[in-house]
Amino acid sequence: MKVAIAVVLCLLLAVPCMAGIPCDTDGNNKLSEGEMVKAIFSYLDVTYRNGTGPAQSLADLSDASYIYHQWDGAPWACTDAEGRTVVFERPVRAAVVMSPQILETMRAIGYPMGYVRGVDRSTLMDREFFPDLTECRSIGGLENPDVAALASLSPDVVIVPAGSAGDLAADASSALGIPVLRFSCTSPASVRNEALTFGSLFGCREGAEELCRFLDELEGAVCARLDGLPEDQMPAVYVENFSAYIACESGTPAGDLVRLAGGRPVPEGFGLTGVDNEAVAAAAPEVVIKLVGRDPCAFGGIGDRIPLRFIEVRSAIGERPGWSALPAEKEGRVYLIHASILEGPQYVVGLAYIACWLHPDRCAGLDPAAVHKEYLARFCGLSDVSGLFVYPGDA
Amino acid sequence: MKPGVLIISCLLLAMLSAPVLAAPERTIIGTPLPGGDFVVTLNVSGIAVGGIVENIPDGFVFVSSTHPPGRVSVADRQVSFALLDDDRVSYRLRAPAAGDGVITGFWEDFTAGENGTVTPTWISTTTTEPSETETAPTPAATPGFSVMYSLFALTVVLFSGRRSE
Repeated sequence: MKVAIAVVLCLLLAVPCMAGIPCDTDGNNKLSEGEMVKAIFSYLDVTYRNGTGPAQSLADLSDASYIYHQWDGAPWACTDAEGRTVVFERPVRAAVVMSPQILETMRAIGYPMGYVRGVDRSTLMDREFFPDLTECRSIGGLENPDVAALASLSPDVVIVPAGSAGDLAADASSALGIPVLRFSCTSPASVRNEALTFGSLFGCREGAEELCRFLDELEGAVCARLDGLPEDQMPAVYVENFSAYIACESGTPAGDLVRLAGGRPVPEGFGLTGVDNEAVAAAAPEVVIKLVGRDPCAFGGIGDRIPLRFIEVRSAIGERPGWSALPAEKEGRVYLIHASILEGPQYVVGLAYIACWLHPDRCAGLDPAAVHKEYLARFCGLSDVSGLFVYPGDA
Repeated sequence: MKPGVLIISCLLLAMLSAPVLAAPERTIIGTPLPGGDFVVTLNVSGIAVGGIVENIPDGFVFVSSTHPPGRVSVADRQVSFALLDDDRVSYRLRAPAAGDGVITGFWEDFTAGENGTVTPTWISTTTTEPSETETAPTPAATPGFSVMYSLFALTVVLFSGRRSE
């Protein structure tokens, strides 16, 4: 009885996406060389030699070729960031992606944007960063997914952010019988593994490895400069989220980056923490970093060339009760940074900026703006874009 | 617009629209002597999973191939090869006592979803050309405009410009 239950559970956990791999004539769910060759000859015979025998459709043959070449001839079991496994028996040629960081990672490794059939509303609105989504539909937001749009697209997979924020969208997709994968692609600690997982699933291994090499090189360049940094030289850094008085501590992308860049997030805590003027004053931060790019600080990024809002927010920070006495204010070390360069594969850009702010002497040779430009050109196909990502600093 | 600028623009357009696809190339090694054997080689690197169909001209006979036996199919005057991560395909032909002809071929890349024709290769037992003949590496499937189309467009633009002056 227990064994039967275990078998049923295993079958439920491994969700098969489609029925059988193409050209698998013996039905053993494994595409052998003989089966592949037979399918090729059948097609060539009918197409070029006036043959009249049965032949696979070009679509089936194309899928079979992909499976044979990319997945070693077998269905591909993809395990997501939440440990859930989905088995794919066909290449993913129609995807819905509900997160800009996930979509950015997919694009960075070379997944064709033409295969992306739907995205969340905010991603679709970011036309300057995702100019190739012209044929893409909006699937609403994570909290109010457009179920009708999802059903009409009938994608091979819906990729939803891991964590509770994505549960509604994931449940809506599952209810329609659409396979769901949960990833985040926001954390520096996980973005490489997630890119490599995507690379295997989407047949973009070389692209994923190239992206990882790029991240390793840049992170290595920062770490080499900070090697042997004594603890007493790690400045106290107050990192504030988009909303005022919400601190980004360890466990958040920004907090983790500050640690990686040789700083100490203060006040001490974990995750997003509410603070007040007294708590910040007691922590006496030597550096203040404010995140912008989302409500209520939805400005900056690609396409924004006017620093007015940056200046306003920067001035408002200095006017908070008691903040003019903070070491960071006295020394003019208050910075604004756009969230797009803190999360996803671009985190190395944010890391380089923060390292330069915290340790200008050690990081004198780093050029974060050049790193950013290279990333956008090599991994986003965006060569002629500009925008405001940090303040004060490069435009 | 000045004609010089226009010409440079058109040439740049032609270069940009030039094919990027690496279509298979056919090479003949050895002179096809009357009644003798010679080797035909196809460079197929870049095709992960695909196929080639070669049409052998009348009088010439397929002898053998170094391709794995299960991945070669011979019927009438056509030889097919199934490609699985191969770099090249070689096969041996026997020439007639006298005569010539053209080898034509088609290729399919199922992984990339592309196909096209292999540039035809003329072979003759009477030629006294050098022992190695290589076909021009002109891909058959050429996405975008060709240089000829661009030059034609340039001519039309220049003529229409002069008429309007």
